[in-house]
Amino acid sequence: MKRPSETIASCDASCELLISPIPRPRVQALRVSARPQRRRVRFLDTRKPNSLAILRQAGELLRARGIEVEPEIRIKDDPSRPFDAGVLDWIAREEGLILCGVAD
Amino acid sequence: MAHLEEDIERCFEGGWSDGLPVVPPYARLVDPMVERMGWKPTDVAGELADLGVEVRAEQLGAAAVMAGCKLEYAPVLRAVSEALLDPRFNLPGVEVTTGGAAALVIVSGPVVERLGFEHGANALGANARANATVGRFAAMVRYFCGRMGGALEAHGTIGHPGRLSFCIAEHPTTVWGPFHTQLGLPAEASAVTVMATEGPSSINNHYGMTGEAILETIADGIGQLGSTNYYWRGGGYVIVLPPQHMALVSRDYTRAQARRFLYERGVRLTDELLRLGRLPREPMASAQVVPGTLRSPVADEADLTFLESGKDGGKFSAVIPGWVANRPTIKQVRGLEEAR
Repeated sequence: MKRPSETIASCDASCELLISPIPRPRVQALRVSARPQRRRVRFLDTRKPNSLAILRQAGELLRARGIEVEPEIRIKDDPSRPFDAGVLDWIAREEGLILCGVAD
Repeated sequence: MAHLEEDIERCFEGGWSDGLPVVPPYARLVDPMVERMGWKPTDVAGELADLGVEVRAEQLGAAAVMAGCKLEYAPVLRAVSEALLDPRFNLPGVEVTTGGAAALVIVSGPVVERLGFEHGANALGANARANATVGRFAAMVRYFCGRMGGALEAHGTIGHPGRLSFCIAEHPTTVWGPFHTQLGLPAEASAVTVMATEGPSSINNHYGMTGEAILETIADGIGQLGSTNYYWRGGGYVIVLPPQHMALVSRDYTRAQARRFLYERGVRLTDELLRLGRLPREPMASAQVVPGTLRSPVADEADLTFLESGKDGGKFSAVIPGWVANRPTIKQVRGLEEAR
């Protein structure tokens, strides 16, 4: 996905900078692990329509294949807003794989 | 002139556009706009805490210029900005939702005539500079500020044309009282109300001669099977009444009575909603889904609001569904004395 330019300069001789209408986030960089440290799956439901049913079925399929799956599915409080700091902290501390579902 | 055309293209290429050509946000245009909005350029106008984003006044001023707003609109734009950045509006959610909601701006009170908003012909899509550009400004703020600098994508399934501009002005003289009196402001105030909504549905009734006939038709529009609000019941509805429908309805009903009528009649059987998949088989307890009962798509009749707008002659009302995770956010317009 192409991101909007941070600066645009007008093309006349003065090279006037245009004022950007786009605020940028001030967030700290995240470190992402490429591999889980533990062979375990946990589910995080976003409360979108049908997502819980999909995650439960996914859990059954994984257990049938011998994967350890945490029985409790964590559920997001508000589907219309981003994950809060508590959930992000939970995700960060998890040693296994978190599967997050899903769109409508 | 050549560099203006090229700067318009540069804005397109740089992603500084809502899909339409913009007025390039030169500092010599943005600075006076920011000042008229009552800010200094580096003031933090608001914060989108969920995204870790601070919105500076100059970014809002840039959007106002790009949308084509006149300087004299600045008091309205200031109020719209404050409403959009209010946490109750949930701007990031509005931008990315699968519901494809738009930011509807309702302008009411003396400011409508003062700044030349169209409140008659094609009121929901008026080809008037005030309506088109103020609506576009709100849409741009949603688009530019709700994406975390471009890191987020919108997921609207179908959206609607209001994502480009959606601004409705109320008649300066009303039968039931100004729109904003339903949200706690005094009648003499000028106000903007910003809410995230789906697209409007046209409600046609040309042969009904009673208020009941008109309201029954509108109730059907509210209670239609596809109403998103049946499960979450969070968005409410704006009902737009043009002069001829207003004459019939107000002859027989007060505003409170009309609201109660629509709340009681704009309903469906819960069992039917379950059968057709409009409600999940395992609803949340907080949704209070009770089989064997009638279900309204609003939790509280106060979530039904009336707006008197539109041109005399035809008999079309409109129902505008609110987005489920958003509350109407109202701000008084101040500083109009300096608007000229």
